[in-house]
Amino acid sequence: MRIVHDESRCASLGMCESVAPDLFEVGEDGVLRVLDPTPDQARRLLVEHAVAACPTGALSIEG
Amino acid sequence: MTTTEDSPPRSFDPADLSSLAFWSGTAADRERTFAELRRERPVSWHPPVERPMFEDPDDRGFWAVVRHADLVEVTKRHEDFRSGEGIVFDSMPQELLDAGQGFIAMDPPRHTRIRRLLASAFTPRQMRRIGAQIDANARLVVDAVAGRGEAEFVSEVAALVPLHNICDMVGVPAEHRLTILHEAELVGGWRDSDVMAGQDPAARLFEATMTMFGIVDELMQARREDPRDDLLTALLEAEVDGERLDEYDIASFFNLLMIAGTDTTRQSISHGLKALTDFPDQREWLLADLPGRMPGAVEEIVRWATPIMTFRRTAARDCALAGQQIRAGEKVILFYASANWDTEVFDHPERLDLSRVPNRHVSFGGGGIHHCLGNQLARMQIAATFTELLTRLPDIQVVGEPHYSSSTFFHGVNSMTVGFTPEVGAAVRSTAEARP
Repeated sequence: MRIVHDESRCASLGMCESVAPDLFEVGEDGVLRVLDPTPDQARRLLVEHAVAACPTGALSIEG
Repeated sequence: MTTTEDSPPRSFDPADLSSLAFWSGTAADRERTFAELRRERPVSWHPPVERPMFEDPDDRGFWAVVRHADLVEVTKRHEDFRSGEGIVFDSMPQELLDAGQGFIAMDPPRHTRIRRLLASAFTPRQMRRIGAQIDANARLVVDAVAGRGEAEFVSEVAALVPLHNICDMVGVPAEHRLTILHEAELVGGWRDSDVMAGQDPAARLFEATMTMFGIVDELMQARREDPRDDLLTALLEAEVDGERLDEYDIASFFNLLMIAGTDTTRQSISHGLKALTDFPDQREWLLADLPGRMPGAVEEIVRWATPIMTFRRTAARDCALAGQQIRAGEKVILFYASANWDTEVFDHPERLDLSRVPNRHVSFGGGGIHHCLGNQLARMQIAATFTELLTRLPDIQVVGEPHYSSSTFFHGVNSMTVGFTPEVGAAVRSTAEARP
């Protein structure tokens, strides 16, 4: 499983970070970073929630 | 870019969305019109809004987008539907757009860079950091009225919580706060005769903008000499594309933050209390588990309030939307109040249902690049205010009818009297003393 982050859509709202703070972080520069783009498969449900929480559709899952 | 000049005129939809009477009427009346349009003519063409702030001889009318799905689609097609030409119904001179609307009326790539700069102040981490301060502000505001048994809710409670929070974040000292509140109110209230009290809207709005510029100018000088841990200092030190922001840009962001940060949350809190008055069973349900049910209740209150009723886009090129052919340069108005009542998405939208899940309201936006930056801040403030009110003044009720404002943009409440059993042991204090 790989988290794909489309920077052109991202508005740095950090909704994903609210769901999974150890996977996503909006930095001091206002740019969202995916801290762990390949999380363990066991965390898939959490990742799906974080991806669904993005209002701008900037996140998706590959694999 | 082609223009509309050589295109044949098209006929206007019979439904009225343009008259002063429509926007001065009640939300329930407007909803009857929206319901008909959602059902039969989801994207329809209308004459320019009556009595605009600035006469625009080139204004031919606007497209009305009333369905939830179409609103979301327009929001996400930001290359087709741009914000740079303005985000309200009225055509405005570019100087006023620049001064008051900041990055909300920008398009990529500049929007993206500026937005990131401000986003750094609204990150989840920052919000967690100021959570205690938000609770403290709600407590102070409620302290000031709790012993009295009645209050003018909008000016004494609903307006003050967001005012103090945004001013804390930006770094505005106490002595400027009530001036800012008053001036920011004019931006949404220029169409409202109660707010304007006989003054010429355009002249008064320019005056309000100048007053705000005066305040931010003073604050910028102060922060240059004495940097603080606040958003204003961060803006002064920030670089975009290797360049510092100029003072005019900062002043423009300042205005946007003050307006967006005070007006919207105030309306949600006011409409929320009215809703809890009108739906006592929902209040009881919420009180049965206040902390557990508050997050969902906040979502429904924000849907119910829909503090911003419309945003505008402008077509960048000829394109299609829900079967209609939109031409380059035409105004497209998104009707959030209508989308939040769309029965395709909401079961019985006319009922306040604090347990509504999922709640796909569009009050913070339809999910595009302009999605509300302050959405987490707003949610925290609404939760803090209602937690404070319902814990300490659980029978607080609206007395009589609220005075709603007349605007094509904000769904506003000008004033609203509330009554409640005074809190035992609470000192009777004036609002002015509520701040340290």
